[in-house]
Amino acid sequence: MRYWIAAFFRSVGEVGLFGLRVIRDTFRRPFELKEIIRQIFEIGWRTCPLILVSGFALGAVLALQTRASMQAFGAESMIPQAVSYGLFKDIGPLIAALLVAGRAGAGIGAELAGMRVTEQIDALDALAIDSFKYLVVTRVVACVIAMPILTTLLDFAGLLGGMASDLLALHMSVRLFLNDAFGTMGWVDYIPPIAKTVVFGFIIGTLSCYLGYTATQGAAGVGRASKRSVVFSSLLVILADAVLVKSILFWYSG
Amino acid sequence: MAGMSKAVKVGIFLVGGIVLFCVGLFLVGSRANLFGNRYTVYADFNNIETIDQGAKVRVAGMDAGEITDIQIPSSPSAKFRLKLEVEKKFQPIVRQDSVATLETEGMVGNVYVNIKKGSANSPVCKPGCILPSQGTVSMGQLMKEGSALAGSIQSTIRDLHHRADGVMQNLDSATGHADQMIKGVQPNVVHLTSNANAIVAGIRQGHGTVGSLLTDKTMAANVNQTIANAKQTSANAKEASGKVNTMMAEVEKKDLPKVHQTVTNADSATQKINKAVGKLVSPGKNKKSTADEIRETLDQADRTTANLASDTEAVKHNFFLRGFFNRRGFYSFDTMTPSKYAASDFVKKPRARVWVPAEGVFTTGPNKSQQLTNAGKLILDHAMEGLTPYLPNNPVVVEGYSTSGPSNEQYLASRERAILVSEYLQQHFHLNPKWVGVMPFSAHPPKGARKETWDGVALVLVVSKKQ
Repeated sequence: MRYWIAAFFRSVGEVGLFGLRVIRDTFRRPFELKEIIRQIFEIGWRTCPLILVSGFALGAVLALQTRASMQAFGAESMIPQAVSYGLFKDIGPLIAALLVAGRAGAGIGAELAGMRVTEQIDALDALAIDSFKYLVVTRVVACVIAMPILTTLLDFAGLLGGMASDLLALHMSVRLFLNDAFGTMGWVDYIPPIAKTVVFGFIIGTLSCYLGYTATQGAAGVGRASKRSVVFSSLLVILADAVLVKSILFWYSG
Repeated sequence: MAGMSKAVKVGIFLVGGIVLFCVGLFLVGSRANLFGNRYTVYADFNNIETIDQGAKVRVAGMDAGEITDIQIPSSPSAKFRLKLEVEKKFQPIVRQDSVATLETEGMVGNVYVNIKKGSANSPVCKPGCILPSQGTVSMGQLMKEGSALAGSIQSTIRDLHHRADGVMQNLDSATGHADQMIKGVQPNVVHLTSNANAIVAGIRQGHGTVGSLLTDKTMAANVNQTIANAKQTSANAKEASGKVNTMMAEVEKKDLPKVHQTVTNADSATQKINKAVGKLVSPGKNKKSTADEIRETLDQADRTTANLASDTEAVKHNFFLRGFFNRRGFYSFDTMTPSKYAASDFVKKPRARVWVPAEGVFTTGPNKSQQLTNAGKLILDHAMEGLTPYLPNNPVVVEGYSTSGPSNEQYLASRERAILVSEYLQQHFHLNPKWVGVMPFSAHPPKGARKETWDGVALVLVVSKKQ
């Protein structure tokens, strides 16, 4: 039991130090710009189709589901608002983060773990290349940059989905839909939720990199690192979301 | 796509994402309108009704900006000062007399500040000016005002009631006078006319009779009696006229000239009679001219009494007195026209209205004449159940309807039916004929009766308000 508790605190501490090191190294020369771009391509661009399709479907489903309850109040004109509020304020950032954790997080964990167990990282170190900077920082930075953009994409894809569903069912004009969707939305409803995904990106990148970078025990370790990347990033993202939402409400007094 | 380098794709990803984010910013910002040109005005409120910073400001109902600051008063007597950021384009219509109010969207919506449009001759509200404000009326206050209003309405109604009562009493006494007058005049008039008629008949028989009449003492006594009667009549008429005068002054002056005329006529008639009789009794006068004069006089008396009768009729139809006569049972069914009937209580608010369909009640005999069947009598007896609580001495009208044949046949059949039923009812229920009327309506009941067409009869009863 004591062993478990100690192990837990040790890993928390290690992840914390790992994260601090990432932040510190991000602002230290040399900046691996080329590698960052490559990672943004991997994490951002490659995740785009997944994000767009699921966003569209999510928006459509949201509109369909709200319609039933809105109809009961005769408030069908509130559907655009319900869709935009739901998407922009919380569902969009959270779903985007979970999708990125699933796709990119697993990828990072597996890739780094693979490099670790095949001693490629050791080889890089042997070549006097800062493997941490080259492999970890670039990926975390790419995650942090890609995450808000992917969230924005998902938000708008979802809005498009909701709009499509609404246009077909209610014959609402696009202009009216957009007016309704953004009519009562303020800056507080738009910027902080997207900004908070920077934190999600950092969590996903750091955790996945840590689990991959510190993987052991061969092929099994690769699998474990991959799995744990997804599980822990998703879990931590959701927990962080709760804290972030609360602090946004606190700072902006809702 | 395939030829694109990773860098280009990443560029597209980054730029696309940022552009999309900015589009969102503008969509959201179009409401918050941080980029719009704004100016500041202030409004003071005693109670800010949970309004918060960032709440909407509307000018004449249109979104125009937001509340950027709420200054809390330094003392209880001071007011909250709201800082309102209003878009510059609204400046021309926001004047110094524009009133700012706190309003709620719907029943439970957000509170916002509404700025009414100012009046054209008031100067434009410059940035930083303080708009007059008007606090919202709380529900409690509204209720308090409502109850005060209800109280005043009640007292007004009570006052009206009181006044109406007074008017009714006046009207009542006036009509009482009129009634008395008519009753007093009637026997005299009848007496006079019959006497006059007898005299005229006697005179019309020729000179010889007149000759013998002149020597006949009893006849002279009769004439004297006639004159006395005429005098009496005239005195009565005079008295009546006095009563009518006061009554009319109380009501309206509508029929006054006519009554005056009548009385004057009666007066002059009596004078002439007086003169004639004077001539008649004084010896050595021309017989023929005297007789002629008597005839003339009596003719005039006749006409006078006829005038009086028609005047009484006119009084009956006087707007103010009609109700009285109606209540007294003077429903002159003989002169009642369908349109008058349709406007009367029989159609507007009958106490009872029973529709009896023709089927089984009437059979068509030879010459298309209507006949009441025995079964029909039972049906009518049954139908009368609704009316019997108000019998007797409440006016009953039998409306006749028939839908068969052309309109003239419809009318005839409906009239026959109504007459048959009314005769049966009068006989069977011992109704006073005065209280039973007949109204043939062909096929279409009057508008107020709420039926398009009807075939059969309808029994209608109204209740006299005073008996």
